[in-house]
Amino acid sequence: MLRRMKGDLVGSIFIFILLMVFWLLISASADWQHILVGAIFSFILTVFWTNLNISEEYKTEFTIKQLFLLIIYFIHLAKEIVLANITVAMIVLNPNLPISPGMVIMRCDLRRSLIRVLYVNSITLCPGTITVELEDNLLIVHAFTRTYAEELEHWPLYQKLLKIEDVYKK
Amino acid sequence: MVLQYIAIIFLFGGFFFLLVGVVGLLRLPDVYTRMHAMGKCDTLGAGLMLIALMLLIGDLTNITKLLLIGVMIATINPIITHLIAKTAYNRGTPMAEGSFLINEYVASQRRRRREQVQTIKKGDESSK
Repeated sequence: MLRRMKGDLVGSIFIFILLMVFWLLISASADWQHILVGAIFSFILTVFWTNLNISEEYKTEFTIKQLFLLIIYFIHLAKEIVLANITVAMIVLNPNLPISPGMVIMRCDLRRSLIRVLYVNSITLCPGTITVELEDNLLIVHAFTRTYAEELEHWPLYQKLLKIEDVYKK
Repeated sequence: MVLQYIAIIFLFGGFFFLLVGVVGLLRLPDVYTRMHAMGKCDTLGAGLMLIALMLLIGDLTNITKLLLIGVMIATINPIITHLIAKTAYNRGTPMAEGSFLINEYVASQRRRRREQVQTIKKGDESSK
Protein backbone atom coordinates (compact mmCIF):
# COMPACT_ATOMS: atom_id res chain seq x y z
CA MET A 1 0.00 0.00 0.00
CA LEU A 2 2.81 2.41 0.87
CA ARG A 3 4.53 1.50 -2.40
CA ARG A 4 1.45 2.60 -4.32
CA MET A 5 1.34 5.86 -2.38
CA LYS A 6 4.95 6.51 -3.34
CA GLY A 7 4.11 5.67 -6.96
CA ASP A 8 1.51 8.42 -7.07
CA LEU A 9 2.41 10.91 -4.35
CA VAL A 10 0.48 13.84 -5.85
CA GLY A 11 -2.70 11.82 -6.00
CA SER A 12 -2.51 10.68 -2.39
CA ILE A 13 -1.76 14.22 -1.16
CA PHE A 14 -4.74 15.44 -3.17
CA ILE A 15 -7.05 12.85 -1.58
CA PHE A 16 -5.68 13.71 1.87
CA ILE A 17 -6.39 17.42 1.36
CA LEU A 18 -9.91 16.65 0.10
CA LEU A 19 -10.70 14.53 3.18
CA MET A 20 -9.21 17.17 5.48
CA VAL A 21 -11.28 20.00 3.96
CA PHE A 22 -14.37 17.83 4.25
CA TRP A 23 -13.61 17.13 7.92
CA LEU A 24 -13.11 20.81 8.70
CA LEU A 25 -16.38 21.75 7.00
CA ILE A 26 -18.32 19.10 8.90
CA SER A 27 -16.77 19.58 12.35
CA ALA A 28 -16.97 23.42 12.16
CA SER A 29 -14.34 24.13 14.82
CA ALA A 30 -10.60 24.74 14.52
CA ASP A 31 -9.23 23.43 17.85
CA TRP A 32 -5.91 21.61 17.61
CA GLN A 33 -7.62 18.45 18.91
CA HIS A 34 -10.14 18.42 16.07
CA ILE A 35 -7.43 19.04 13.48
CA LEU A 36 -5.22 16.28 14.94
CA VAL A 37 -8.00 13.68 14.96
CA GLY A 38 -9.01 14.70 11.44
CA ALA A 39 -5.45 14.44 10.16
CA ILE A 40 -4.98 10.97 11.70
CA PHE A 41 -8.18 9.61 10.19
CA SER A 42 -7.58 11.22 6.79
CA PHE A 43 -4.13 9.62 6.70
CA ILE A 44 -5.53 6.18 7.62
CA LEU A 45 -8.21 6.51 4.93
CA THR A 46 -5.72 7.55 2.26
CA VAL A 47 -3.46 4.60 3.14
CA PHE A 48 -6.25 2.05 3.08
CA TRP A 49 -8.05 3.43 0.05
CA THR A 50 -5.06 3.69 -2.25
CA ASN A 51 -5.87 0.41 -3.99
CA LEU A 52 -9.33 1.78 -4.83
CA ASN A 53 -8.43 5.33 -5.82
CA ILE A 54 -4.95 5.14 -7.23
CA SER A 55 -3.70 2.95 -10.03
CA GLU A 56 -0.22 3.17 -11.44
CA GLU A 57 -1.06 3.29 -15.15
CA TYR A 58 -3.64 6.09 -14.73
CA LYS A 59 -1.95 8.64 -12.51
CA THR A 60 -4.04 11.34 -10.91
CA GLU A 61 -3.60 14.53 -12.87
CA PHE A 62 -5.80 17.48 -12.22
CA THR A 63 -5.08 20.68 -14.04
CA ILE A 64 -6.67 24.14 -13.76
CA LYS A 65 -7.98 23.85 -17.32
CA GLN A 66 -9.81 20.66 -16.43
CA LEU A 67 -11.39 22.26 -13.37
CA PHE A 68 -12.61 25.13 -15.56
CA LEU A 69 -14.08 22.71 -18.12
CA LEU A 70 -15.76 20.70 -15.35
CA ILE A 71 -17.37 23.81 -13.85
CA ILE A 72 -18.78 24.76 -17.27
CA TYR A 73 -19.96 21.17 -17.66
CA PHE A 74 -21.82 21.20 -14.35
CA ILE A 75 -23.54 24.51 -15.13
CA HIS A 76 -24.75 23.01 -18.42
CA LEU A 77 -25.83 19.85 -16.60
CA ALA A 78 -27.92 21.81 -14.08
CA LYS A 79 -29.66 23.61 -16.93
CA GLU A 80 -30.33 20.30 -18.67
CA ILE A 81 -31.76 18.73 -15.48
CA VAL A 82 -34.29 21.55 -15.12
CA LEU A 83 -35.21 21.24 -18.81
CA ALA A 84 -35.57 17.46 -18.46
CA ASN A 85 -37.96 17.80 -15.55
CA ILE A 86 -40.07 20.36 -17.37
CA THR A 87 -40.34 18.07 -20.42
CA VAL A 88 -41.29 15.09 -18.25
CA ALA A 89 -43.93 17.22 -16.50
CA MET A 90 -45.31 18.39 -19.86
CA ILE A 91 -45.55 14.81 -21.15
CA VAL A 92 -46.99 13.28 -17.98
CA LEU A 93 -49.60 15.98 -17.37
CA ASN A 94 -50.71 15.98 -21.02
CA PRO A 95 -53.99 14.01 -21.27
CA ASN A 96 -52.97 12.40 -24.60
CA LEU A 97 -49.67 11.01 -23.18
CA PRO A 98 -47.56 11.71 -26.33
CA ILE A 99 -44.79 9.10 -25.89
CA SER A 100 -43.10 6.72 -28.36
CA PRO A 101 -40.54 4.81 -26.28
CA GLY A 102 -37.73 2.64 -27.57
CA MET A 103 -34.14 1.46 -27.26
CA VAL A 104 -31.06 2.93 -28.92
CA ILE A 105 -27.82 0.95 -29.21
CA MET A 106 -24.82 3.19 -29.76
CA ARG A 107 -21.12 3.61 -29.25
CA CYS A 108 -19.19 5.35 -26.46
CA ASP A 109 -15.54 6.25 -26.91
CA LEU A 110 -14.62 7.36 -23.40
CA ARG A 111 -11.84 5.50 -21.58
CA ARG A 112 -11.36 6.88 -18.04
CA SER A 113 -13.73 5.21 -15.60
CA LEU A 114 -14.69 8.38 -13.70
CA ILE A 115 -15.60 10.24 -16.89
CA ARG A 116 -17.61 7.24 -18.08
CA VAL A 117 -19.58 7.32 -14.83
CA LEU A 118 -20.17 11.06 -15.27
CA TYR A 119 -21.34 10.51 -18.86
CA VAL A 120 -23.76 7.72 -17.97
CA ASN A 121 -25.22 9.60 -15.02
CA SER A 122 -25.73 12.75 -17.05
CA ILE A 123 -27.46 10.74 -19.79
CA THR A 124 -29.87 9.50 -17.13
CA LEU A 125 -30.50 13.00 -15.80
CA CYS A 126 -30.92 14.66 -19.20
CA PRO A 127 -34.18 15.04 -21.14
CA GLY A 128 -35.82 11.90 -22.42
CA THR A 129 -33.07 9.30 -22.01
CA ILE A 130 -31.94 6.76 -19.41
CA THR A 131 -28.95 4.45 -19.61
CA VAL A 132 -29.63 0.73 -19.61
CA GLU A 133 -26.20 -0.77 -20.17
CA LEU A 134 -22.58 0.29 -20.71
CA GLU A 135 -20.19 -2.50 -21.64
CA ASP A 136 -16.73 -1.65 -23.03
CA ASN A 137 -17.84 0.71 -25.80
CA LEU A 138 -21.40 -0.55 -26.26
CA LEU A 139 -24.01 1.79 -24.80
CA ILE A 140 -27.71 0.93 -24.63
CA VAL A 141 -30.06 3.84 -23.98
CA HIS A 142 -33.80 3.91 -23.49
CA ALA A 143 -35.43 6.98 -25.00
CA PHE A 144 -38.76 8.57 -24.23
CA THR A 145 -39.65 9.82 -27.70
CA ARG A 146 -38.09 9.28 -31.10
CA THR A 147 -36.69 12.81 -31.47
CA TYR A 148 -34.63 12.45 -28.27
CA ALA A 149 -33.22 9.18 -29.58
CA GLU A 150 -32.05 10.83 -32.79
CA GLU A 151 -30.61 13.87 -31.05
CA LEU A 152 -28.50 11.75 -28.72
CA GLU A 153 -25.64 11.18 -31.13
CA HIS A 154 -24.83 14.88 -31.53
CA TRP A 155 -25.15 15.68 -27.87
CA PRO A 156 -23.19 18.80 -26.81
CA LEU A 157 -22.28 17.49 -23.35
CA TYR A 158 -20.63 14.40 -24.87
CA GLN A 159 -18.33 16.62 -26.93
CA LYS A 160 -17.45 18.52 -23.72
CA LEU A 161 -16.54 15.27 -21.96
CA LEU A 162 -14.37 14.20 -24.90
CA LYS A 163 -12.57 17.54 -24.57
CA ILE A 164 -12.01 16.97 -20.83
CA GLU A 165 -10.54 13.55 -21.58
CA ASP A 166 -8.23 14.95 -24.24
CA VAL A 167 -6.39 16.85 -21.48
CA TYR A 168 -5.21 13.51 -20.08
CA LYS A 169 -3.85 12.23 -23.37
CA LYS A 170 -1.20 14.91 -23.82
CA MET B 1 -38.68 38.04 5.18
CA VAL B 2 -38.01 38.12 1.43
CA LEU B 3 -35.79 35.07 1.90
CA GLN B 4 -38.68 33.15 3.39
CA TYR B 5 -40.91 33.89 0.40
CA ILE B 6 -38.17 32.70 -1.98
CA ALA B 7 -37.83 29.55 0.14
CA ILE B 8 -41.58 28.97 -0.12
CA ILE B 9 -41.36 29.23 -3.92
CA PHE B 10 -38.57 26.63 -3.96
CA LEU B 11 -40.51 24.34 -1.59
CA PHE B 12 -43.59 24.41 -3.80
CA GLY B 13 -41.45 23.81 -6.90
CA GLY B 14 -39.99 20.70 -5.28
CA PHE B 15 -43.46 19.58 -4.22
CA PHE B 16 -44.73 20.01 -7.79
CA PHE B 17 -41.93 17.93 -9.32
CA LEU B 18 -42.30 15.13 -6.76
CA LEU B 19 -46.04 15.10 -7.53
CA VAL B 20 -45.29 14.88 -11.27
CA GLY B 21 -43.02 11.89 -10.55
CA VAL B 22 -45.80 10.06 -8.73
CA VAL B 23 -48.37 10.88 -11.43
CA GLY B 24 -45.90 9.57 -14.03
CA LEU B 25 -45.42 6.38 -12.03
CA LEU B 26 -49.17 5.80 -12.14
CA ARG B 27 -49.85 6.80 -15.75
CA LEU B 28 -46.95 5.54 -17.86
CA PRO B 29 -47.20 2.09 -19.49
CA ASP B 30 -44.05 0.02 -18.68
CA VAL B 31 -41.02 -0.23 -16.37
CA TYR B 32 -38.59 1.81 -18.48
CA THR B 33 -40.86 4.81 -19.02
CA ARG B 34 -41.75 4.78 -15.32
CA MET B 35 -38.05 4.96 -14.51
CA HIS B 36 -37.90 8.13 -16.62
CA ALA B 37 -40.47 9.81 -14.40
CA MET B 38 -39.04 8.62 -11.10
CA GLY B 39 -35.33 9.05 -11.81
CA LYS B 40 -35.53 12.62 -13.02
CA CYS B 41 -38.28 14.21 -11.01
CA ASP B 42 -37.03 12.91 -7.68
CA THR B 43 -33.60 14.45 -8.23
CA LEU B 44 -34.86 17.94 -9.00
CA GLY B 45 -37.70 17.80 -6.46
CA ALA B 46 -35.46 16.82 -3.56
CA GLY B 47 -32.81 19.28 -4.80
CA LEU B 48 -35.21 22.22 -4.80
CA MET B 49 -36.45 21.29 -1.32
CA LEU B 50 -32.85 21.17 -0.08
CA ILE B 51 -32.19 24.62 -1.57
CA ALA B 52 -35.23 25.96 0.28
CA LEU B 53 -33.96 24.45 3.55
CA MET B 54 -30.53 25.99 2.93
CA LEU B 55 -32.12 29.43 2.52
CA LEU B 56 -34.09 28.99 5.73
CA ILE B 57 -31.18 27.71 7.86
CA GLY B 58 -28.34 29.98 6.72
CA ASP B 59 -25.57 28.36 8.78
CA LEU B 60 -22.33 27.25 7.14
CA THR B 61 -21.91 23.76 8.63
CA ASN B 62 -25.55 22.83 8.15
CA ILE B 63 -25.45 24.19 4.60
CA THR B 64 -22.48 21.93 3.80
CA LYS B 65 -24.33 18.94 5.24
CA LEU B 66 -27.40 19.72 3.15
CA LEU B 67 -25.20 20.25 0.09
CA LEU B 68 -23.66 16.84 0.74
CA ILE B 69 -27.11 15.26 0.89
CA GLY B 70 -27.94 16.98 -2.40
CA VAL B 71 -24.77 15.67 -4.10
CA MET B 72 -25.47 12.16 -2.80
CA ILE B 73 -29.05 12.26 -4.13
CA ALA B 74 -27.83 13.53 -7.48
CA THR B 75 -25.31 10.67 -7.80
CA ILE B 76 -27.23 7.80 -6.21
CA ASN B 77 -30.55 8.44 -7.98
CA PRO B 78 -29.31 7.90 -11.57
CA ILE B 79 -27.27 4.88 -10.48
CA ILE B 80 -30.30 3.17 -8.96
CA THR B 81 -32.37 4.08 -12.03
CA HIS B 82 -29.67 2.54 -14.21
CA LEU B 83 -29.57 -0.63 -12.05
CA ILE B 84 -33.34 -1.16 -12.18
CA ALA B 85 -33.44 -0.57 -15.94
CA LYS B 86 -30.47 -2.91 -16.50
CA THR B 87 -32.00 -5.70 -14.42
CA ALA B 88 -35.31 -5.32 -16.24
CA TYR B 89 -33.51 -5.41 -19.61
CA ASN B 90 -31.48 -8.50 -18.70
CA ARG B 91 -34.57 -10.34 -17.46
CA GLY B 92 -36.31 -9.57 -20.74
CA THR B 93 -39.13 -7.47 -19.34
CA PRO B 94 -41.42 -6.58 -22.25
CA MET B 95 -41.55 -2.97 -23.42
CA ALA B 96 -44.73 -1.06 -24.18
CA GLU B 97 -46.45 -1.68 -27.50
CA GLY B 98 -45.05 0.17 -30.49
CA SER B 99 -41.54 0.60 -29.10
CA PHE B 100 -38.80 1.16 -31.65
CA LEU B 101 -35.21 -0.06 -31.72
CA ILE B 102 -32.40 1.91 -33.38
CA ASN B 103 -29.07 0.18 -33.80
CA GLU B 104 -26.59 3.02 -34.18
CA TYR B 105 -23.61 0.87 -33.14
CA VAL B 106 -23.12 -1.00 -36.42
CA ALA B 107 -23.44 2.18 -38.48
CA SER B 108 -20.90 4.07 -36.35
CA GLN B 109 -18.55 1.06 -36.50
CA ARG B 110 -18.74 1.07 -40.32
CA ARG B 111 -18.16 4.83 -40.41
CA ARG B 112 -15.05 4.46 -38.23
CA ARG B 113 -13.77 1.62 -40.41
CA ARG B 114 -14.19 3.80 -43.52
CA GLU B 115 -12.39 6.75 -41.88
CA GLN B 116 -9.52 4.51 -40.84
CA VAL B 117 -9.18 3.16 -44.39
CA GLN B 118 -9.17 6.70 -45.78
CA THR B 119 -6.47 7.87 -43.36
CA ILE B 120 -4.35 4.85 -44.31
CA LYS B 121 -4.80 5.67 -48.02
CA LYS B 122 -3.85 9.31 -47.43
CA GLY B 123 -0.76 8.18 -45.55
CA ASP B 124 0.22 5.97 -48.51
CA GLU B 125 -0.21 8.82 -51.01
CA SER B 126 1.81 11.26 -48.90
CA SER B 127 4.60 8.69 -48.48
CA LYS B 128 4.81 8.24 -52.26
